[in-house]
Amino acid sequence: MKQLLTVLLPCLLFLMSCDNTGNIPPQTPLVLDIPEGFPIPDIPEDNELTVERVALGKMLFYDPTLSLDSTFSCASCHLQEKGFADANPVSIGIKDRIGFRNVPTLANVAYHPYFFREGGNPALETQLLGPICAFEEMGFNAAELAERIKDHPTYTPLAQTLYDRPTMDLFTLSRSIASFERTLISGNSPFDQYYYQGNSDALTPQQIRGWQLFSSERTQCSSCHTGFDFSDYGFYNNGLYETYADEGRQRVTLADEDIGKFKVPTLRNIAQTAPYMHDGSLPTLEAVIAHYNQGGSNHPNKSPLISPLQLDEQEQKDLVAFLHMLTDTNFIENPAFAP
Amino acid sequence: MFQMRKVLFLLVLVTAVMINGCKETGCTDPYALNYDPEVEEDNAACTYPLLMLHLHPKVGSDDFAYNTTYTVNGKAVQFTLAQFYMSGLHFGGIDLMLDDTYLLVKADQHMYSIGAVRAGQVTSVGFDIGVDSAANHADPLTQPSVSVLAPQSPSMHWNWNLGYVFMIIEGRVDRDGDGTPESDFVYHIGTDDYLTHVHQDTDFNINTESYMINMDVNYANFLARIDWDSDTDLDTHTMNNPTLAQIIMSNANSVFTVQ
Repeated sequence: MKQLLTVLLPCLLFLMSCDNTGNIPPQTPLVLDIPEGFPIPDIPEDNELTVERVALGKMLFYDPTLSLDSTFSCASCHLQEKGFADANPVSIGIKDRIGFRNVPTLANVAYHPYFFREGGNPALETQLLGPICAFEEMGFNAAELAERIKDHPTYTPLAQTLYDRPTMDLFTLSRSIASFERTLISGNSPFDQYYYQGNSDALTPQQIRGWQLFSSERTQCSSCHTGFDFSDYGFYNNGLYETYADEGRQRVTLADEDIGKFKVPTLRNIAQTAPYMHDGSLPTLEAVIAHYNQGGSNHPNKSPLISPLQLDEQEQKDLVAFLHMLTDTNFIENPAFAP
Repeated sequence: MFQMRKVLFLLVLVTAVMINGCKETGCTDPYALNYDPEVEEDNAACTYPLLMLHLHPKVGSDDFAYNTTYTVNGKAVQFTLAQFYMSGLHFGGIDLMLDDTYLLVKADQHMYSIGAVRAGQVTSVGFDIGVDSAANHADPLTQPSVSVLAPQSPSMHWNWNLGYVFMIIEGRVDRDGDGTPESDFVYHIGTDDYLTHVHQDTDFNINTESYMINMDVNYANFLARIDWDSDTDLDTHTMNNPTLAQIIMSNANSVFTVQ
């Protein structure tokens, strides 16, 4: 009997050490710190957030070997100090290749229902191959990247333990980077402290005037830039041009009524993410306010919400002052997001 | 004498029992190679032909080769890349036993293994160029690395508008009339609306352990009605030039000829 137990007990302990997903050893669940006023984001069941997965995703986010010539990482365009955007009108990729879209912020991407400015990709897990494989961005090819990483001495053991993969692969890469991106939550700006946390001293009178203008019937700013993330994630033509070189949403739907429509971006950390618009054509927040104040250009698809606002100089300054208060310094400087 | 008859009778009886016993199980599928109409119970030992697809890429009547000059639509043309997804293979006359089968047909690859199929008379061959909607919107990173639906080089997938590129044809065409192709043409066609069905009437019998279907693929016919004197007809990535994508895919049925 004693001999039988000596054999059986280690086997039992081994079996008990496995979680119910088979060969994946237990990981440390990561519970997101949800800001006041924010909902809990959807997390895919097959990519639950764990400390270990997020750590791997961060490593990969900052890894330049994901690009063709190993010079560009995700962080090369998505700079933390710029709210995980950058300061160029349009993206600049490997070999100084010039893109055609302004780099969007990654703040709060966990909440987005689709990705890219025309909304053609449905998930963080599938979106990231877009910039990796874009000629003018990271310039690589998915199959060739898979070949490059498959025997990686650091990533392969992590792919095996964190995702039960035989080797490092694009599945692990996409899932772990998506996990890291889901932690990029920004919700502690002075506006948040004022509006959600009840700190009436967090905004100055000028900034409060700006907030009131922003959310007024007169400006209609908050009709599209609404909710906890200052975006309804809808597609609108804001009258930037009479003729659009970039068709926007129409690239996906082929519907003429979608020409010039782009996904509403968040305004969080907007003071850090100049220049503005889908093509980075407006250099400052003042220029953006001036655009909306003037009522935009004539285009058949321009939203009826866009019309001359007749804001005076002080009111425009108040709006800009308010927008500056959407900067979340904790997010910009959080060491947890740094390499 | 009586003993002899007794032995003979027993021998006949035993033989009859043995024969009847052997006939009780066997292959009961009439579309199997070893179908036995005499048996009543299937023994899960049916054997079926293994189907191979032998494609003969052509440009008109010439054999296809990359970076070789041909005359297409009256102009000198070279191909630099030509490949497409084939799916939904089905035959008229017999039921296939195939799971969802996807092939990535490359112009410089001739042989493709399809798998086991039922034997019988085939009256038509049908397939789609492209992939079905469900596969088209799935994540290619969940595919086994050996699958043709996993990431490929060159890429056969769009990320900005999640889905596969059903067909790529790229090359050069002579527009300045000096006989040397110099102007690039790039045709990338995909999205659900461009899944294109091809149907060919046939008449052959699949009745051997391995069976090869020979089919010509005339890439010149994909390019019928393209006007290379127009800049518009040099490029389509489908959503930027759906008219040209439609023209190209509407030529599909004329590209294939089952021998």
